[in-house]
Amino acid sequence: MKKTLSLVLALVMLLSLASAVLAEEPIQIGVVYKQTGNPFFEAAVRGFEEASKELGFEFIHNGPADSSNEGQIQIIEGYIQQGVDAIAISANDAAGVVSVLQSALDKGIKVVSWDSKVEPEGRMLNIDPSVAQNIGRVQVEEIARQIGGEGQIAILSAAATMDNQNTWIKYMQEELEKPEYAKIELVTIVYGDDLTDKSIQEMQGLINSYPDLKGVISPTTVGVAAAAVAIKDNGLSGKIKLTGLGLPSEMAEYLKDGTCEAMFLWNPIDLGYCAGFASVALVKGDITGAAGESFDSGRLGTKEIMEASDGGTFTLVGDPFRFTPENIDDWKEVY
Amino acid sequence: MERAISRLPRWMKRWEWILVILILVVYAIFSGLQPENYTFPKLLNQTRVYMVDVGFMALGILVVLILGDIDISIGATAALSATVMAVTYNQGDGIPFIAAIALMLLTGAVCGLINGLLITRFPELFPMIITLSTQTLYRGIAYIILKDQSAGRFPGWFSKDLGYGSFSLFGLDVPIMLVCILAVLPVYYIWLHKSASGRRIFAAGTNLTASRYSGVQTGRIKMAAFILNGIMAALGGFFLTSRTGSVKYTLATGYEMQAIAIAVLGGASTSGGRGSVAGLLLALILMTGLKNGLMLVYNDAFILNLSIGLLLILIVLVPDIAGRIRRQNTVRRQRLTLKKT
Amino acid sequence: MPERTRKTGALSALFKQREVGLALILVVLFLLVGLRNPAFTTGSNALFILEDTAIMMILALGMLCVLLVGSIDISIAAIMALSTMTAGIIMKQNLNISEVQVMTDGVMGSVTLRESTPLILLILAGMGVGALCGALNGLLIAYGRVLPIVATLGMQYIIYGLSHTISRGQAVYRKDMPDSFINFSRATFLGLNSKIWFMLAVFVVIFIFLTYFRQGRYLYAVGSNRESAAMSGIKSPRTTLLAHIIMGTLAGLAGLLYASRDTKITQDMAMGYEMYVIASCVIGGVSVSGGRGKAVGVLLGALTMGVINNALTMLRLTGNSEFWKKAIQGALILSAVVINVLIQRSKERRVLKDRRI
Repeated sequence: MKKTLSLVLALVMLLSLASAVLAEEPIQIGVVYKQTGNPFFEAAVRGFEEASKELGFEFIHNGPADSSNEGQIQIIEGYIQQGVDAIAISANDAAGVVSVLQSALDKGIKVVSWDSKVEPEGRMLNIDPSVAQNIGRVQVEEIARQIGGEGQIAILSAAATMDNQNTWIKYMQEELEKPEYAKIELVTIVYGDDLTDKSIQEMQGLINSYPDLKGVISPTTVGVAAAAVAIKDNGLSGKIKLTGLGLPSEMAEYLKDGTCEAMFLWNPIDLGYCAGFASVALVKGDITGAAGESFDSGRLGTKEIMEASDGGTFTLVGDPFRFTPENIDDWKEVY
Repeated sequence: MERAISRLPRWMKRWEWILVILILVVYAIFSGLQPENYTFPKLLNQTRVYMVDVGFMALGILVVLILGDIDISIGATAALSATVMAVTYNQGDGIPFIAAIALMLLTGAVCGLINGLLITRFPELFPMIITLSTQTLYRGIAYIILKDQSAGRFPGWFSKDLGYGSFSLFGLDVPIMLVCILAVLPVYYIWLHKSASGRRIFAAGTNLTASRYSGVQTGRIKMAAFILNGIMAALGGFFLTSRTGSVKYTLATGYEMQAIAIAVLGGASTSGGRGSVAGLLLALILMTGLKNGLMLVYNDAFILNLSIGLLLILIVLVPDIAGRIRRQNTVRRQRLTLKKT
Repeated sequence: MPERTRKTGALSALFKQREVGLALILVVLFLLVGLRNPAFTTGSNALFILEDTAIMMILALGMLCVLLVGSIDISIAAIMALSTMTAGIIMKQNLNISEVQVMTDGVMGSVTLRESTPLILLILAGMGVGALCGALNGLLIAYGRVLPIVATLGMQYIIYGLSHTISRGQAVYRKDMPDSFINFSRATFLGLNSKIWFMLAVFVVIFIFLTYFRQGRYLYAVGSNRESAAMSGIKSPRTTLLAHIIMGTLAGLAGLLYASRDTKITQDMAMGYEMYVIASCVIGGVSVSGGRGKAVGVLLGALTMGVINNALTMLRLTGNSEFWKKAIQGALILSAVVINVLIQRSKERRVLKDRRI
């Protein structure tokens, strides 16, 4: 076997001598998203496309099939191997990609996180869809309006391990402390793991366990759609109010039939678009990702870079958009 | 053609040669498609990603497979062991890192021990079912310990030097991690293929009842194999953690199937009695070349899966068909000789 | 005297049934959770559990056939995804939404009609694709002599890849589905949900097939002893192939019901489901080495899994206890399996004792 191996190695080395020399090329950005086949990220890729047409950069995009941290590392290593100029990532695990992104930063690759942040040690800039506090607040305001300011509510979340979910829920709980929400009782928080069938089961459990339940907030696209299915199947449309963060394409029918009066989401296209501009600004050296700088973000105007609570820096794309039965038709084919 | 093949010396008809040819074919194809990025030095650097953590897990599962068992809890074992290591080290405020590593290996061994105990005590149950439940259990415990947190901030030599460091050899950057697994492989090879205890494992896997009657303590061998498997899974988790830099309870999800696929590609059979360390190494090299190549050329996770599935089936199917043809030829030849006499 | 022996015989025969032990486990589990949350023991919740488990039961019945011949299929979740995605693409392309004026209670109102390919054709397409995948599995295993776990592991990768390729990454949502498909898993008949009816139908067919049909009995024969089955003229590869085709077809049906319930079809639908299906079978007393297992046991096994799942939801665990759920689930599955084995062993010991006397 040893002979074989050395033979193979020698052959392989001979073949590899034929490697070509790098030529002057346009800026190349490697986009990493959480999962392949997720419409939210497909829309974000359209944002990158739009930005690439305006700025003339090239980009490649990929995400793991199983939304795993390990899969994202493999993709990032592949991008480093290809010598991209910048990496723009929506991380499955904020801490789990820090090491590999640091090795990318060491090689002079610029790193931007968008949608789901990377810890500050592994990024230069984070593109936040919206301030977490606002995301929590608007959903509480909406459910309070829908249930008339009093009654039991519950939260259907994704997984108890997701940072962004927990932050939003924390702000929701803070918001509910306010005196105007004194008559609203948050009875429980359940977790559907972002799996449709498990979320439906959890929602069904809520319906069976809390007969007086008036409203549900589900700050996850999978959860809110699953909750709508369960509420509608039980004939409770309009009786149990529902709001949350949902995909227009998935929720269109439920908004129209009254199962969900209104829901929110930020625009993934803008998110990708802004991340594309930020990456190019970093590569060109226009910005370094420090607080106080600003960069041009095309049709979104000039973006200010600010100090983030985690010690890094971030910029905001915009507040979550409110989808209602009146405007949903404009969006359901978009993402 | 057939006669030419049958005239080749026996060692050239070995399974490993098919793997070597496949590696060369894969290399030729992808270096043709991606001459700039698919080069040997760059591939050597990528071995960190594809060879080391899965490699350790595959080495562990290899012994279990040779015994005719299976273990799908190794991903969860890796996650739990790494969790224990991260939590006890506690960013430097807990026990020394070396002690944390020892605890990690111990956790892996205990996980393996529990699997082994259940499997030897309840032979009616397929190992797959037992390890399916312990998989949920182990990952559940990691989940209880870590909750939504990632534990990390390991010493620099671990997350920087071991995880991303490399040293120079003949002008090539060799990842330190790669050396770790390459150092273990010969030891493993000698133990499994050349020592008496290794032969007993093969014997037990080939025919459990016969070896029991001939005085081989199969129960004890199985226990030892599962403990070893647990330790190897923990080591896989260790090297994976050095790359991620932090531990979350989802660490190494799905790695069990990757490890099994590597062992099977390397010539192991899930029905026991077959397996090869050299084949496993070649399977690791092949997977590195293939996965990295597909990643560069197609950049699509599903195409990757599709190709690996096809490869897995073909690679098991081809030698069987070849073997069948060979047997038919032997029968025909025997008939001919019979006719002559 | 002969009367008495017959009587004790009937009683002990009842207790000799593995299924009785399992039913007892189920009842105990049910009561324990009921203590914590009375809503758990209500009839409507029991019916919900049954409805929720029906899809798992259909799959477990298919898996029973595969396990009986000594094979296994871990590609069923992938088959579900591919067959459902095929049906989903067909329905999406032929979808026709129209507004119809309808008179209800003397008021003219407009109703949106969503029509597409007839439901029966969608079902046939889904089940057909499932059968095809199953046949491919069966061919590889029976004629290619690839080990079942390796063959279906490989096929799992391939089938998921195919389902991704044909869907081009696009999921199928409620807005792309016709009313008939949305109602497929929601219609009720005699107060029972259609999923339960489908499950019962599959159960009756499988039960009759395994008990009264020669081909069905062959499944047991091939699984318990391949050589002697072959000697007595049973073509074991053909029987193995048949078992896999049944599994594939049922996976297609289950996938359609699953997608109709979720009103969503994604290319990675039901990922990881296969393990729970296999666990249901084992809890239900099916031997994974082949030749042993009953349709009734499989139903009870799947029901145990369903009760465990539902119990975890109904225990009203909040806050930090959420983290315990996953560990509890693993421990419960393990103990259900182990208790079942212990009951089986004590029974066998009793049988031996009886013989000695």
